[in-house]
Amino acid sequence: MKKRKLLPILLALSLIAVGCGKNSAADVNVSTDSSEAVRQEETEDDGEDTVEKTPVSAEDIDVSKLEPYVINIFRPGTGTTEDIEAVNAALSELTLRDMNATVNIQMVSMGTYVQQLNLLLTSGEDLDLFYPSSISPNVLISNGQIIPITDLLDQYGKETKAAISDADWGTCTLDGEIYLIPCNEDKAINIGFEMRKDIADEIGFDYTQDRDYTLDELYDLFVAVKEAHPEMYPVGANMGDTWSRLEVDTLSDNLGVIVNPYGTSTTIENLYETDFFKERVAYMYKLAQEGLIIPDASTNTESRESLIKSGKIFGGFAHMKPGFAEEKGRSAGYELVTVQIAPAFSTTEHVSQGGYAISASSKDPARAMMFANKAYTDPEYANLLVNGIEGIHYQFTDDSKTVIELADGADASDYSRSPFLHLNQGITYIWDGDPIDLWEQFEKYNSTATASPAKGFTFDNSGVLNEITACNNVVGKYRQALLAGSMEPEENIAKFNEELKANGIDSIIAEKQKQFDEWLAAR
Amino acid sequence: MKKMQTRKKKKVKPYLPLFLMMVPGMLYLLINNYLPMAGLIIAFKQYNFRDGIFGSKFAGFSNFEYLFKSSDAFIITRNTLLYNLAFIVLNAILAVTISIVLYELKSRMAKKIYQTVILIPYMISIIIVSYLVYGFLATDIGFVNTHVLEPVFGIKSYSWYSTKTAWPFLLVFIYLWKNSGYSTIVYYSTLMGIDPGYFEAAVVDGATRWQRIRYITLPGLKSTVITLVLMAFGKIFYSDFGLFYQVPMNSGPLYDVTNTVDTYVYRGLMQLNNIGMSSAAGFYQSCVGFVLVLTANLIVKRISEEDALF
Repeated sequence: MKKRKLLPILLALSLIAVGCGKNSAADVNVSTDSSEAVRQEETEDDGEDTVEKTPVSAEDIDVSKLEPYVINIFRPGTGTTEDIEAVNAALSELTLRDMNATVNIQMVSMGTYVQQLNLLLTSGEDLDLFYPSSISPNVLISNGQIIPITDLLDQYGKETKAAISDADWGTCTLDGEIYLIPCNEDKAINIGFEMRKDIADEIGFDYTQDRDYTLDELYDLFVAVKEAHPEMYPVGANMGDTWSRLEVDTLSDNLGVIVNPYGTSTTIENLYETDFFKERVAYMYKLAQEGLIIPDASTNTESRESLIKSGKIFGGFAHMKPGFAEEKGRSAGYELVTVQIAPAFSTTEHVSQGGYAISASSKDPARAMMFANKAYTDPEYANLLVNGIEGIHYQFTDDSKTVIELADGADASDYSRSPFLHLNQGITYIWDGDPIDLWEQFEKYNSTATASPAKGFTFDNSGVLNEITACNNVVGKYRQALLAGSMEPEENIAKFNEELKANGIDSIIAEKQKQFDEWLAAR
Repeated sequence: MKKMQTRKKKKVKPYLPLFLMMVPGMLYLLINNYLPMAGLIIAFKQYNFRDGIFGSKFAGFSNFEYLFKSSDAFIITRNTLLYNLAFIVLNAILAVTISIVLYELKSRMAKKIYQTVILIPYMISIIIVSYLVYGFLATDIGFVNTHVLEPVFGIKSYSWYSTKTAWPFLLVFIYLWKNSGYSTIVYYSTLMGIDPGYFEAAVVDGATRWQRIRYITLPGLKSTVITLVLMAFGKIFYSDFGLFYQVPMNSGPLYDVTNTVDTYVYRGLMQLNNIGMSSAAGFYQSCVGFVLVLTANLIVKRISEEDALF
């Protein structure tokens, strides 16, 4: 009899134990009373302050006056629990010294990052600094999830403010307030075609010329590739997109664009009615008819690199940045080369899509800004964030201490390295294999990229949400299929535009143009 | 099969342990299903995370507009309703037929094997199903194109994912293949509950197999069929997202025949992340389902009172 009662009791107890246990990498290291985050005297929360707010340089912060605090940071990334905790501990040593706070960086892999971020933001859990990823800053602002940081920058982020150009700050501004600190990364894109080097050499195609290649030249290349390798398709797609970006300024949603970002025209047009779009679609249709594009391109969920790896495609149209071929070559399994079709241009989205924002639920935004400032300007901070701990995650290749590689005994997955996800990769060590002047290349790339006439302008879409929702559905119906050449262009583009008009694209464009003209006039 | 007459006055005390056992479940239902209903108000608000649910600005019915104003409004409503009607009716017919056939089988071994096999598709994730379908319908390497259309009919590279015509039939077929197994098992278990004495008496009276089915088996299933169908009506405005988004591989040209209310809302709001508008869609779906269930129940009550749900 006793045995019979024991088992259910044990089961019930184990269920309770499982339910109560909370395994979070976060709770462990930190031993401060974070609940009292008393603000210093100079805090921006007081609204209209009669006291002069003097900008405080990073060195001047009087650490002894600050209450202990835990800075919670959330960003995409992967790593083992031990390694993340180790990096947090190492960073905390620095932050305790500089701002009497410890850091708690949590990370989640990119695949589920946005969902987790949404959960984190809606649950109201402690969060100070985070990387918005693909969530549009507009959405975060209108939902009240992030706070303006203009004053915080002036007070605690002086160095960061000075290090970033006014034009770039403009792209993170809405209604006169700055909301994001843009990451120091590629802030422009150039459009081109990436392809397998071995097959290109085999055909004898010269991809080394430093100029813009024409689509007709590429057509000849595709025909040659198809002849030499009939089982392979010259042009592939990346998760359904043959052209994930076109050389236009999308003005955040592709509904009403500036068709020529290299020019000076400030007229916003419907991309899908322009000759540019019609010609591009006609070109893709021709390619598809001749069997040069992979079938079912628009429904294929594979990435371009994995299709290259499996030998199904020769290459694909892509939007690029410095070091693109080397980076993609690593995941494609073959050496890749690229040719340019359209030169580098920069729009608001290119700058603001990589940045960090301060959450509205932060209890000490000043502290978060202090940390961001340090992360942007201090190589000690930046290297810890990007590369991990010296000796454990990385080591120098030689005594000159300029280039680093994976540390002996470490695994690349212990603390994953994605430099572009951080505030300032430009002050970190160069990874073995990348060009030694990679950061200079980035600088040059960013500064020589043509700025679109609308760079700095952010569209506030709250007045046309219904139209955008409806038009998004219409775009989903036609765009990918048209650009993959799987639909007959003439009649389908006409139908496409008819449906867009029926769903209010003209109101969207009118509203955008109105806001844009106001923004231009105010400059 | 008459329902048991319930006694109006019941003594609570002997049943107290049973009531107590109900309490955790009821508590869970209260907290998980009833309390959150207060959140329905989100559909009428312009939700702002800083102001919270009750502090956010009131938006009236503006969150619902996008569902009706667009040129696709009619299409998504038509697709959702017609597909679901087809699913409910055909599923019922198919499942009843198969369950009767199963019931008539003599071999116990055969019954068990068929039961398992019929139920397996229900267990397969719809994502896997979408890739199975892709294996059949891919333009260049799909089974149908390479082994049926080309050798037999001489049709080359028929692009299944770009042509609308076949998809309504395909989707109904896939739905039935996946879900009829579950209904079959439910009906079959009802059949098991019919007193075999009826069948024996019928055989003695000289009834043919078809007569037995018509006068004993089918009436025995009536209540279960009505219950399942009524419950399905409540979900008539919902759709299996996997079936309508994943299986057609989110292919644009197919939108006219595969876009339902759920996929439309997803596609439209993916970038906008607007909580108010997506809540409005859910609210609309539940309301329609609620009205339909009540109406259908009323109709059933008129026809055959004891079979109505409530």
